[in-house]
Amino acid sequence: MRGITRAFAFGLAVAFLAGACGGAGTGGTAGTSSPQTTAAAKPKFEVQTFMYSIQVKGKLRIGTQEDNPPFSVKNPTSSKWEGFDTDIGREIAKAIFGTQGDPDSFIEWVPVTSATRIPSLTDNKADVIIKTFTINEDRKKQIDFSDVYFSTGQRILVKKTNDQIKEVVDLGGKTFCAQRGSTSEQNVTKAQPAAKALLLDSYPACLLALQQGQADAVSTDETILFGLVKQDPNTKIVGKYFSDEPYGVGIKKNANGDRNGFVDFLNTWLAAAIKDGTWAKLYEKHITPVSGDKKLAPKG
Amino acid sequence: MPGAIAVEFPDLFFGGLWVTVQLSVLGLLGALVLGTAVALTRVSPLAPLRWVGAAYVEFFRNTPLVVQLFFLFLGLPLLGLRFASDTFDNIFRAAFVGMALYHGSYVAEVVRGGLLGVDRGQIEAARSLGLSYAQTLREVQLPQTFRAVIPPLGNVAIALVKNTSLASTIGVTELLFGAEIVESRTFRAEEAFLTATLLYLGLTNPLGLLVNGLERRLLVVR
Amino acid sequence: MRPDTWAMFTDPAIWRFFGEGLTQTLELSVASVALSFVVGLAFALGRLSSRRWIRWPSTAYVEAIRALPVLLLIVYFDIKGSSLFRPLFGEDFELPRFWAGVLGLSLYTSAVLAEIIRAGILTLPRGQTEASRALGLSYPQTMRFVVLPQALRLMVPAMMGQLTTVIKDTSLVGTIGVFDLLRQGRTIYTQFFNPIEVLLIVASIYFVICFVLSQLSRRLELGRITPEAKVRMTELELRDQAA
Repeated sequence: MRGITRAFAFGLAVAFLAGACGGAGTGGTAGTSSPQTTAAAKPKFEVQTFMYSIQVKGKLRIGTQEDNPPFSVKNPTSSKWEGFDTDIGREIAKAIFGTQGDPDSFIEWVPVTSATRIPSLTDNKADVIIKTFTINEDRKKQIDFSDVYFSTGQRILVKKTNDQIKEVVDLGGKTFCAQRGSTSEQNVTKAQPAAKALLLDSYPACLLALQQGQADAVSTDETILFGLVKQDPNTKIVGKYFSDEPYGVGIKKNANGDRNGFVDFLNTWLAAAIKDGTWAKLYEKHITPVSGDKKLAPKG
Repeated sequence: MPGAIAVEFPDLFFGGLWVTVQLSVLGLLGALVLGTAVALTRVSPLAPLRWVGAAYVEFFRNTPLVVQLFFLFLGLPLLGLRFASDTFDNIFRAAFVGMALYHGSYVAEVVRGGLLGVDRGQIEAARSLGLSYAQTLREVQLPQTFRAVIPPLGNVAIALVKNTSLASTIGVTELLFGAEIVESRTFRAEEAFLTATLLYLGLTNPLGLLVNGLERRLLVVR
Repeated sequence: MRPDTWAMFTDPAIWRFFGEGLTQTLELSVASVALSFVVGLAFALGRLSSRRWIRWPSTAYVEAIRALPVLLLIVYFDIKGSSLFRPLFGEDFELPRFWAGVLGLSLYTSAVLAEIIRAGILTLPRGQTEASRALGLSYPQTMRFVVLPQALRLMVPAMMGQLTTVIKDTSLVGTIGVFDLLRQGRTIYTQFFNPIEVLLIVASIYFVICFVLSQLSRRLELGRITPEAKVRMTELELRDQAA
């Protein structure tokens, strides 16, 4: 029965919300974390700033994804949003509305997918996007980003019993699996030209290939590998980062003063949250269970 | 200019084309052998043999080829069956078996139609002249069948060449796979896909002309 | 075999999940066939046109598209579909993957249907057209009131046969991230690690639908179609069956 229990705990929560019960997020009582922000009870903002207008409206609209563990998951049983990204959102809400009360009462959650992240900002359907959103030059042309709030990169997934492959260079002569058309495959080939690529159309398919011995390793962004390890505890993540994926909070560009002061506000808030240990707490709560490590700041 | 990109990535385009050609030729041979064998079961006097043949044909014709490929690629290893220990040999052979199985069901129907198309009177005449079942089959039925089935088999061959592209879904580095990789590296989708298109046309169009030509000639002879 | 891998199929949630995929598969099929029929009809008439500047491009379209793998067309629309339509719908336009799949399938199927419809028109006795024209009907009128109603009725079995091909072909859209029946099945087996069981179930569902449709189309065929048209249909079926 191991398969069933495991799958119900982790698996279908990712795929379809109805099937799973419990254990979908990383547990805990998200949203009631202790008041640790630097903001005063009711922060004061200049009238012309975006934060002031949000305070007046009484709602911050946060765009995130329903099935992106451990960053954001809408728990199918409690309908509560859980995960690292969602708690980052709650901290931002507290910095705007103050620390009294449930931050969720000031938040409107807007479900987005990878493809709808930018349009939901430009069409003004969400105020911030917090969804494993990699900062890059192309995107910066269309929207603004906060400073890096989470830094990750590409690593390698192998079977737990494998102790030959420890770093990307060890993939020489070995078969690794990656998604066709992704940059992951190119990053591996750049780092180890002698690695042989089995390219399939999804990472779960790669996981099956790994289990069956048709691939020696799977390689992609660590955050995706987290999900795979959760799915199959007989695997482990090894090696140092060999690519750089910096995540930022996405916001609409400031046109005609409709986002005055927002980027600066977010960066000030982020620096404070790192300084006072809030960030480290969130990391420990959501990421440590899957990564096994602890961090005090996005870089480091 | 379309096609120039092929020179920049010869491994992916021409290497991919070569895999497509190999898979097509081997797949077609496999489908012909399998399909002919199944067609013979379908006209055999033994009822159980006919049922097995019919079940094979209906199952493989009425399920998608990709489903069959995924089964060969991910399902069989769980039963301890692999076509090769090396991953890339394994997926190529899985794709080959998939091509043969799927198109074999179409070949079987074509060949059966050809066999049944032979006038029953001729067969009875041959038998009453003292020829055995096997002799009748070889000397009377098959030569006539052969002529009738060549054009439709040509059409199966064209379908097969196009369908080899599905092998990309299980990781076989054939032509479409090559084009997708080139696109993901260069973002030159138009060039990459137009080049693949031209290469596919280069394979299927001559085949189409050949089939049309044969069709006309064989019809005249009959 | 591993004993627990079938137990999950007693859970109704799993069947709801398959059901969602099946719905997508059927929606894709219907949308593709509907779109293909309209486009295919246009190209069939185009190929039969007496004007060279219509006939030649129509012939080129039909022949070129039929020579291509349908998966190539689907992948192309997945990658470039959005930018193709941006001049029409604005810079932010994102072509939903469902429609990328429909367009890829339809581009291909329309070429096949064009051939089926053309074959249907060509099997009608020429005398009918001539008589209608002699009675004073214009070319469009002749087509609309005399030729097409008969030709299309004649081609119903062949078009149903093509529908089974389209249903099988929809299984390719999973590779571009549309959650059709096969893709839903793949989601399940990547969670539960039971590809054998899931693929057998998925194959059975496709089988039931396609088998029933193909039997139906065979029944309809009897007595309806001339032997020459039958040969042409078989040929089309063999060449254009994709996945």
